[in-house]
Parts: sequence; structure tokens; C-alpha cells
Amino acid sequence: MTKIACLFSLALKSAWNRRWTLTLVMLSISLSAILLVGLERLRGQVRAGFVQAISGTDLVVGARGSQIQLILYAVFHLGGATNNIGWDTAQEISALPEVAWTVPLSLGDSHRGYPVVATTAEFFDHFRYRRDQKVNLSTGRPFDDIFEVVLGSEVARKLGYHLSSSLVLRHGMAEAAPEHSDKPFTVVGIMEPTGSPVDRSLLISLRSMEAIHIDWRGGVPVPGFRVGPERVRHMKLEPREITALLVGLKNRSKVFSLQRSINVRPGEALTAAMPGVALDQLWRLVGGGEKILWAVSILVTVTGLMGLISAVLAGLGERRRELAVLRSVGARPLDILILLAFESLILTAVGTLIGLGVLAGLIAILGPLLKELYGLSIVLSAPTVRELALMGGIIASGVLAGLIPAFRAYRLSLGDGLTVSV
Amino acid sequence: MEKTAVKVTDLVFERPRGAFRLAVSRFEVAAGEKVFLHGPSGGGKSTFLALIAGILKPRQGEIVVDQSHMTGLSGPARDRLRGEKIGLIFQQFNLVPYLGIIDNVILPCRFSPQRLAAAQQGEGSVRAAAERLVGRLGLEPALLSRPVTALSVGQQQRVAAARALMGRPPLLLADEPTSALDSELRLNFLSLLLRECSEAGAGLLFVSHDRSLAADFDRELALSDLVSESTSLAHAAQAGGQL
Repeated sequence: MTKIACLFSLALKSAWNRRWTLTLVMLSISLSAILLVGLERLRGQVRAGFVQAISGTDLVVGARGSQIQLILYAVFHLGGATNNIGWDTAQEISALPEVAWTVPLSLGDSHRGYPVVATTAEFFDHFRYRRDQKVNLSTGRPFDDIFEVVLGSEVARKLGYHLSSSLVLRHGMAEAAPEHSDKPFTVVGIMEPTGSPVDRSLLISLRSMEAIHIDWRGGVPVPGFRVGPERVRHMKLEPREITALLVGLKNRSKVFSLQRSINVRPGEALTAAMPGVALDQLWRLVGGGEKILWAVSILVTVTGLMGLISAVLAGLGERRRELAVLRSVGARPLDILILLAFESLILTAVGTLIGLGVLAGLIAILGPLLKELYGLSIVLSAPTVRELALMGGIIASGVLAGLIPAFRAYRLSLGDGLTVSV
Repeated sequence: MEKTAVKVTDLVFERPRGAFRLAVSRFEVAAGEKVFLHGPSGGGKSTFLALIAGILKPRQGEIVVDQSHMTGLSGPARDRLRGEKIGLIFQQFNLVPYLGIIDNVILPCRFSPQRLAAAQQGEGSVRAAAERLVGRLGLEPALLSRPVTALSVGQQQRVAAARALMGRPPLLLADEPTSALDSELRLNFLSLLLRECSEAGAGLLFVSHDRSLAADFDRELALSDLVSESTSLAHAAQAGGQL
């Protein structure tokens, strides 16, 4: 056995001998690891959920305005469009040779605070989120007829709707806005949880959107003019305008040229945004909260490491004789320093691994619950490079922190020599 | 020329700020010789042993342990030399509490390749050498599985003696190793230690204030006879303490 191996073995046995004292220290390091690595995983997943709230769509086209605002209302259904785009214009874009598919979106109405998204059946074929995942129905079918609605998972769960439930849409997002109470909708499908804004949406057809507004002008019902639900079925219900258009290309390398050509297109003033880029910019704006969480978890780690330092320092007094015995058999003061540094390494490494194990258990137990309740998709998987780097960082910090008591032991063993009065 | 376990010449040691001064003009222990050194508590015995062990560094003079010069070496080199050539027995608290009996005994072999080689040469394996030693020192095999903290003080001192003898170092330094034992155990321990030193051919410098133990040694010395100059002994007691 080499001397280094001997010192490591001594450190292991010494730590085991004081296991009850060191358990608390190790637990605090475990907690630090759970917080730091757990937060990193949560941050990664939330960021992925945000940045990949829409995936597989190459361009989002809306009326001229800021790209971030366009993404906010077209993808997250937050705020409102300053203007709509004409249905004819949308048709022209759909017919461009570079375009493989388009999904029109018409927004503006709501139901008990949740946005209503009017679209076409293509939505179910082409809309993707989080690394090209398709949206699926957990029950029922897509809308087909007018006055049929498909609910996002959160809408159905929170509002207690199921298939065949009947509901009424409200005009606009305001609570006090009038309702389209004469044209109730029937729930025909409920989506699986996605962790994307789809969970919070009610999906209806563009025809339905036209149908409920057929007797409205300027945001209010036309006085004295009512078109009943049965009559409206027989009317021509082609939309005049939509809010945004999701565009998928045949060849993604054309995305920049198509974006440029849409942005400078003569006629109706349009903005085409690349969702990935705009969402990335948006995350930089809204992701500041993660820094506070980081600061808190780093403080917890520092506290854990201070616990390690104080526990090892406190134990040094009673270990001076033991260190003197080691010196008597030829251990150098540097060996004593290495021994103590090994102890810190063992403590932080075991603490970090325990933390990782507990975190894996928590993810396994709470992951499905988080997805169900908050749409947060946190899955059990091998640690990422960044997570491994974080764990390495905790262990390296532990060893560095351990050098403080180790250096104290080194000084003590130099001063004590073999003469310790205990 | 007779081989020496340790030879001290013109040694001068001073504590900082002149709190203590120890000067020894000449002292030696021949190979295999057993020397009893006595003196009052605080007389500088522990300081003298720490100087021979290379823990303390003299201001001047020469210490040669088994033909190797201790003085003039760097700290790590003195540590290495101590590990190779010197076995130490303290008054008490001799053992590493989290190691078993055999692991305590073979500890010097972990730090000294020479002692490891010597132990292996004698018995084939270091563990066999340790088991033989503890057996010769009267520790029953049944005790080997017990933690060292569960042993009596007398048993612990025998383990410490086995450790000091492990790998046949040429010199053993023992500072009051029997002072924590009752009189019967004391004589028993001493006779085992002397026998094993003879067996190993190790020189022994045994320090004690109890002169009644001196009878079986080859030579008895008082520290006052040895020391050519010593001052502030009361301070020395505080500065040096017990091994």
C-alpha cells in the first residue's frame, strides 16, 4: 500500500470512527448538492420549457411590431396583438414555394381567464413543443364541427371539465367583458399535459371564432341583430383576418431569406420572427429570478462548507494525540495536511453523492406530480455536463474548505511534535 | 568500532527567547544496549528524546542514529529517518483509536519502506510479523478483533511496544511507558519489552522518574549526569511536557 493510499485509508477509517458527529455535516453538504443540482435541473427544464414552448415552427408571422411581442401573444397568449393580418395575406404566405405548412391562430377571446385559440385541424398535425414533441389528446378527439372545443390539460383539470361539458366563451380577456352566451361550446377533447402554453388554452376552429362574432361589431353585439347557433351553421364562415400564422418550411436553410422577404414585403406590413431566437431573447429578460435562486443555493452551500470546517476544526483538539502518534511513526506534517484534506474530500464526495441520490428519488416521486400540477417536465436522467461540473465544484470547494482545518492540523503537528498534553 | 544505536555530540538546544537551554556534550547508546535514564519531572528528558527523534532541531551539535546523521537534515528527511530507525512508546494514548490492533502495529511499515521490508523479510508478510509480535508480548489472539479502545492500559502499552518494535528499528525511545500501569503490570511489561529488544537487537533508551525499574538495564544514567548545561527547568516542564 502506497503512503497516499494509506493516508486515504486512514482518512476513511477516521471519518467512519466519527460518523455520528460528521453525519450532520454530510447532510448539510447533501442539502447543498440537492439545492444546487436540483435548481440547475429545474432551471434547465424551465428554460427548455420556455424556450421550446414552440418547436418545429420556423417562423411566426404577425402584424408589424416587435418580434418579442409577437412571440408573447402568439405563443404565450400574453398581451394582445396591435393589429391582425388579413386572411388573404395568410393565404398568400401559405402558398409560397418555400412553405411546407402553416397553422393560423386567432386570439382574443377567453374563458375564465384562459385564452381561446382559434386555429385549424393542422394545429394538431404540425404544432410541436419541447424537442419536436407532438401534442396529443388524452381523451376525445380534435374539434370538427363549430361550437366544439378542445381543452388544454390545465384548463380541464382546474375548471373540472370533461368530455361533453358545455361552456361559454367571453369576448376579450377582461373579466367584465360580455359573453357569447347564446353560442355555448361542447368539450370534445382534452389534451395531454405538455408543460407548454397549450395546457392553458382552449382550442376552437377558425370557423367557430367567426361564428361567435357573426353578430358582433366593434367588440359589442350589434343591437337588434342576433344570429342563432343553428342558423350560423349554414352561413359562410371564412375568417377575414387572423392574429398570427405559424409557418413551417420545406427547407430550414431558407428561413433567413424568407424572414427578410416577409419583413420587407410590399402591401400589408408584417413581422416574421424566428421563435427560438426571440424566445432566447425573452428568456434573458424574464430569467433574472434564477440568479436570486442561484445566490440562495450558493449561500446554502457556503453554510454547508462552513459547517464542515467548524466540525473538523472542533475535532482537532481531541485528535492532536492521534496526529502525534502518526508523526511518531514517520508521518510528515504534510502527510497530516493530506490526511485532513482527504477527510474533507470523503465527506463532501459522500455528501454530494447522497444528495444526488436523494434528488433522483425526489425527481422520481415528485416529477409526475410537478408535470401534472405545474406542467413542469422534470425527468430522471443521467446528470448533464453542467450538473457534473456543479458536483465537481461542490467537492472541490469542500476540499479547499477542508484545507483550513488541514493547515491548522499541519501547524499543530509542527508545534506539538510528539509532546501533546491531553 | 562498536556500532551505536544513537550517538549525541556537543548538543545545544534552546527554546525561543531563552526560556530553556539544554546542552549535552556526549551521550550514546550502543546497538542492542538498554539504557535507563532518570530525572525529575520537567528536567528536560522529553526534550532530549524529541531531539533524538528529530522532532526538535538543536541549535548545534550532532545526533547520529544508527550511522545516519539526524542533524542537518530537512524536516521531512528527519521524519523519514525517524520512521525508518526509531520506535517510540509514549506514556499513554499510544494508539490510533480508529485502527484495530494489527493495523496499529503495522502503522510504521506504512510510512517506512525499510521497516516494511524488514517485517516482510522476517515473517513473510507484515501481518504475520505483527501477529507474531503481539503474541510474544502476551496478547491473546482472541483480543485481536477487539477495538483498541476496549483494551486495558497495560494491553494498549503492549500494542504500542509491538508497534515500536515492528520492522526491527535499531533504536527504541520510551518515555515513562509504565507510569500509567500498576506495579505488577509495570514489571511484567518491562520484562517483555527488554526481552523483545534483546531479540530484535534494538538499542533502548528508557526514560522514567522511577529508579526502581533500573535493575534490569545495562546502564543507568541520571539526566543531571548527562547534561552539561541546563537552565530554566521549570520552564522546560511547561515547554516540553510529557511525551
